[in-house]
Amino acid sequence: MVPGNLLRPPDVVMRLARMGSAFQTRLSFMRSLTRRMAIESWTFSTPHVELDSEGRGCVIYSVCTGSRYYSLLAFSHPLDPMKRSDRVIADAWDATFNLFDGIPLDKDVQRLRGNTPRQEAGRFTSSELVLARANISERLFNHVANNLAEGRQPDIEMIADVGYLMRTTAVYGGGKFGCADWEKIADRADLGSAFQAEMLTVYLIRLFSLDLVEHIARQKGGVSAVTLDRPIRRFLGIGNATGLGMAPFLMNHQVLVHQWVSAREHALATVRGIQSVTVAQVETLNEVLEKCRVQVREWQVNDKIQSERVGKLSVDLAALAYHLAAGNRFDVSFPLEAIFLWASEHLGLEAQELVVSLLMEPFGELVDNLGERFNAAPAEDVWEPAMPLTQLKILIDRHYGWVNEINFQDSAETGRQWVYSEEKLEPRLGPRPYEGIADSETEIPLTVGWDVARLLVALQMSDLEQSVLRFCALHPWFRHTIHRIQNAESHPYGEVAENIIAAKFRPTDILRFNLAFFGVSKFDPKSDLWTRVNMYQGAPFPDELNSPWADQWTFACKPASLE
Amino acid sequence: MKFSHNELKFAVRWAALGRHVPVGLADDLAKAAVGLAAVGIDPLKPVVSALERLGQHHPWGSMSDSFRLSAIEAGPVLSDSLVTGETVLPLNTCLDNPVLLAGYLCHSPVPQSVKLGWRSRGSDCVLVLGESGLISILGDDLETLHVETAEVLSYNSAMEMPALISAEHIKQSRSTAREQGVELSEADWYSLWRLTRQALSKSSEESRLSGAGASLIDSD
Repeated sequence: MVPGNLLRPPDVVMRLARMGSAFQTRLSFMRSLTRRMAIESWTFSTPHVELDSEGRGCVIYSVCTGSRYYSLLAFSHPLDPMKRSDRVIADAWDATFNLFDGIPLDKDVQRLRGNTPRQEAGRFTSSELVLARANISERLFNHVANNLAEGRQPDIEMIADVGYLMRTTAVYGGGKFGCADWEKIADRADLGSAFQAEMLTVYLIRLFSLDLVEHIARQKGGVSAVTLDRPIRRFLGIGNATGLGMAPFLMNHQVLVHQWVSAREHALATVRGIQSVTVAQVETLNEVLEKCRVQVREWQVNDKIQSERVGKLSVDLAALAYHLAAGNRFDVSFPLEAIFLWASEHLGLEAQELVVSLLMEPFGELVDNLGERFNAAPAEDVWEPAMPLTQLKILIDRHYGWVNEINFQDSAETGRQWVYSEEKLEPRLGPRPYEGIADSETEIPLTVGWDVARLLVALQMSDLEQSVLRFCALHPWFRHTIHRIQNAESHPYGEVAENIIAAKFRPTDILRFNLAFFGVSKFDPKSDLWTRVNMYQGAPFPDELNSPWADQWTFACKPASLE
Repeated sequence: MKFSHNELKFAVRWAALGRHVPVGLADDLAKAAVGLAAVGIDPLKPVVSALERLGQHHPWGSMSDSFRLSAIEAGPVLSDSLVTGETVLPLNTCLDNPVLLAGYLCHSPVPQSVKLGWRSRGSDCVLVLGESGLISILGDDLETLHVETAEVLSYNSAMEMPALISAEHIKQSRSTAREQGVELSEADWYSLWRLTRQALSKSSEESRLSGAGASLIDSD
């Protein structure tokens, strides 16, 4: 049981500036997945390889989780470099993928060969759990292939600069384009938790990208070709370009997001409540901090804002290391609580959030189970039509105090509007066409704060003794807002405590928050609207899953930089 | 043609928003459509019909004055009423698309068993409800599931009729839908998607610049 006073309140955690400073933790989805792979001894094989001399063709990877089989079908295509784009509206890619539920038969492979490369224009069935695509990093992929072909390892600085051979530009799950609904696998022990099927897909795509570059090197170099040295191979992750779609997802999955954040916050509170720590635990913490410092030094981005934040983070981590090195720091009661409070007072937001991640590292046995099951079943969704409006008003005061900080009469606070474009349903964020007018038929309803503010006005003119049911019958425009408010009582971490239609809003804050829960690193914002990141950099390969270091793979540093 | 629940939910929700349906009611309509599909009833015709009947300036929230209500507005209210016991809809309500009620009531935990019936074109249909929501559907023939206007809704209907869709069939359909998606008419899907597209923003060079990745020079 976690003491309630050690839990950070939602109004602190769910602020955009803090969300935009989030880091992966032990509970992040990629780490949960690789841990489960190791514990349950998942086995991997490559039953089908059909690639021509230029690397075009099909490869199938199969995974046995003990209870089930899953397969990645990877299709590699020729692509005009001029058509290589990270955007949703692209229509051609270097490689396309499906995660298949089971082992595909020949007829399945043939069916997908005709559909998977077309992505959104193709049609899929409930046998396909995930649809994805990726583009190569042309400069690194060719550099690596050419060097390996000539018998040399690639330049490590160039590897560190890019960090991946391919980057995914979309990973669709949850019933998109005819694929299986998430509910199909929700009860499964292996992939039933949120985004585990997508994370497995990306893990396998990373294997494909590495196998592909070595295949091309062999084709080019023949007997002169070499394979990647294992430390370099491991340091290559898989890139990902993430855009605006994450924001509507986060706002539309209040219960699920609460589960993620609540798990992390309970893990943090558990650690803060530890009365004393062992020497080994202190050593683990210091080792991870040292790796973090190196990793942050290697984190280079062009974005001016993020670059300054990384610089500040580096200085803060040096201060943290100095602080921890002082005598008797761990000999006091509740030493981790003292460190947490010190960090909250002396460090910037990026460092504060990294400390949240660091403090959990030595305590897997206490916290890892919190991240094992994220599952927003319909039963979790709250709707209480009998609730009197007096009670609803109390919930608004308790969970939406932040709305009172915003003047929605100021057009800057409602200056932007989210829409889905008819072009492949790409989410776009543009200026509001009519100042102060909401609810146009094309707007994605993400106007939470504004809606609550208008509800408060309506409540002032209503009989507060009446039920939500009767009020909603007369005022159906507020039904969805009341639904959110009722859910906020039992899922308080599920609501962003800020206005995401304001002119000053930066979507990258929400993207980073989401991606940190996935477990990514090296956030590289390319604008306010999208970011590139690295996934699985440093992650163990199937034959390394039980290595002693495998549990802390996310703190990967450039090979030899720790020597 | 097979569709996933998620596809159906998205298309219905946005078709409703495009017809100016309030967000909460659009969400409920999408859930109702999925609920209907999961018990083996193709929801597309009743959904499209109900949406097309809505005027540009539909008077949302004025149910007590209406003689013939939109199921899109009355369905959630009726569902909530059956759960809480508070009567809000006027007696002798007449709905434009009563079959949609089956979707709204699919997962409504009605504390005591209730039979909700209607008569249309001389045929009767009864929804049997209980703690787990919709249990079975009784009726004279399947056509009563495709009516577009009920003469009157009657609570605790005493009508005794053969099962049109049995409890066992509903259970089996839900399991199959979860595993394999739902079978829907392709032609009706395009009718629905025509409405959904109205809620999508027209694309232009300017709007393309407001999408992620815009103006990217892909030097990676």
